[in-house]
Amino acid sequence: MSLQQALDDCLIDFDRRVLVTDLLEEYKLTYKEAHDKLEAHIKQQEKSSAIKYEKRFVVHGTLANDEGELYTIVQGDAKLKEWLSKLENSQYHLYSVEVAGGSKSAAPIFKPMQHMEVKLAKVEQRSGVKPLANSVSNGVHKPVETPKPASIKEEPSKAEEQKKTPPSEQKGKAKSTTTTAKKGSIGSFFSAAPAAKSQPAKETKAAAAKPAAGSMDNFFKKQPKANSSQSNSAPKEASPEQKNNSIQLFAEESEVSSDEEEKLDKLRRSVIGSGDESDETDAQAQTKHKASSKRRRIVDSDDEEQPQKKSAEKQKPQQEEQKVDQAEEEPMDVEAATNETFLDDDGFVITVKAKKPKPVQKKASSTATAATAAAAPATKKKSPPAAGKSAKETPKVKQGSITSFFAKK
Amino acid sequence: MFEARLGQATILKKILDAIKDLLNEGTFDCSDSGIQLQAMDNSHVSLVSLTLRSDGFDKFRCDRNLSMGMNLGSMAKILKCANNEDNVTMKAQDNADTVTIMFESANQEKVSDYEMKLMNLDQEHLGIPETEYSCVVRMPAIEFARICRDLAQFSESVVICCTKEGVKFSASGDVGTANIKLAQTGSVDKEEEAVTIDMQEPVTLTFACRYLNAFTKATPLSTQVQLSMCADVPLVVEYAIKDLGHIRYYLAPKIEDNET
Repeated sequence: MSLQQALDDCLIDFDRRVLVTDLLEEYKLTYKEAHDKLEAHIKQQEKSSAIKYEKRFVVHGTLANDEGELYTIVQGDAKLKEWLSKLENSQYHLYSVEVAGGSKSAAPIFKPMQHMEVKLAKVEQRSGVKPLANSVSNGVHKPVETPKPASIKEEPSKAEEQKKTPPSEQKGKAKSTTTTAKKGSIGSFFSAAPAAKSQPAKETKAAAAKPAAGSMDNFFKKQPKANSSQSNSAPKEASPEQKNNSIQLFAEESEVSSDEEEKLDKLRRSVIGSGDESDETDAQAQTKHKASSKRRRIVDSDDEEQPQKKSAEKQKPQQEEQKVDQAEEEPMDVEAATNETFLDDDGFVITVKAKKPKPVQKKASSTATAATAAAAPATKKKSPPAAGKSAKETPKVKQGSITSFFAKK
Repeated sequence: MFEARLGQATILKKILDAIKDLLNEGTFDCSDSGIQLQAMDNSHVSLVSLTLRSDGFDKFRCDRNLSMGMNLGSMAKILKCANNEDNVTMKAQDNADTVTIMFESANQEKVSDYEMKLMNLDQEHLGIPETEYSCVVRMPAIEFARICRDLAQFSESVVICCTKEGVKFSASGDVGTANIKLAQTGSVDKEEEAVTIDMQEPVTLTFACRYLNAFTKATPLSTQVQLSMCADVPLVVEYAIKDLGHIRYYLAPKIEDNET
């Protein structure tokens, strides 16, 4: 969707402060385009509906007497003119817009832009923003780093991804922020050392589960959570393992006719059985299927596996790297395969061997923290000893810093 | 003018090998009393303190106090060019931005000199207080290196527990647990094989294996290593350099993490 369309459809809520940088991010525009479109829209709105907008501008120029460059953000046209007159070689751009006296508070993330080009590149990485497959240059010279969903095979290994992700993002992903502190920065030691003495041992043990979750081992568990929303919202990007072809078939059909969907739902509720039964019914159904040239297909898990294998052969080297990661990942993302066999309205037996992705919201919810903590030991068993090692120990102790023992001369 | 000459390049090689894994750069502070280097590793978890007394050198001259910031990797590379039996001489002018390292073969037939650029390093020096340690363990340096190497396979951390019975090194991980106990040796023929423990009160401390293993790179410098421990104080791992000085490693202990 283009910015213009979004503006026309009133999809942008100006009750909150709208940062132009966010629009650049969202609609993959250059600053000039976004600036022009937004300003045109505001002018039009101010004329037609008498709504007044509060505008902020980012002004860049050199100070008089050669005191250096200045970037600043000013509010309103009056101040803008004032600043433009103060500065030499000045230029300005729209920075943010909101309805004057807007009822809601300012946008929660309000980052003044100091170096436009650089900051824009960093804004790209914000976890809240969905990356587009074909990322436009966005006026930024450097290619934008877009975080890919963890499930995509082409992506480098998770460990690499973790390295690439900025620490701020990692903190967001891994709930226990103490992971960084474990490396024993000076600052952390000063605060942590007295606490270590005063806190009772029982509390330490109780809390010990959380740091374990913050370890490298747990990062792999948490990673899919962050990406699961992406993979859910963009099902085309989901890996073959996570794809449920059979479900998609029905989903496509259900889009065609809602009546049919209702019927299917009814049939789904009356599940006939699974496992051995399904094999027989498969055979029956297949013969019928050929005879009647029915458009609906019976989908078996074997059918799903074949394309998987093909793709696996193509990307074998990459997959081998991710093998360990996926082994840990799968139990988190995918529920146990459940066979659903049912009769459809034409009397055909449909068997669905489905790997259903877990609902994303459930994971993201705060209650899920406890669930993941409980799930952690289960996956830990499968994880290689090396991965589990750090998880087991880090919660107990933290590396102190030498500077906290010896004073600087 | 600074000039220091050592009879055997191998000592300087070993010293560099002992510190270059922990430190990328270091400042050699030269004075008339000798050469000192103090630096923390990048993560500020351990500290290396090297002391080379002036009387340990074959020739030592230092007209003015001089600080020579060096890239230790580069210096190690230069020292690799020396034969073990070569004489090594370090020379620098006052306020010079280079140091000359000269190797002379025993019969003076081969003389090679290398000039290395000095660096201006803004390194913090820490004041190390005089501490009375609760436990001081002396043991064979090779044994200590072996223990650290073995326990690193089990865990990232090693617990050192020192009691009057002896010293116990433990590690616990997914593989299992490992405990190595060393009792004080009664009487040994060779002094370098002795394990001695001076204990005021029992101490149990946890340390990172990674650093201990880095410290053991100094094993070739000395037959014995001295571990000094006290509760909530960094461990001191000291290797004596015969007739020349010592290298001390200080390692901050791991502490209970109650932040969560």
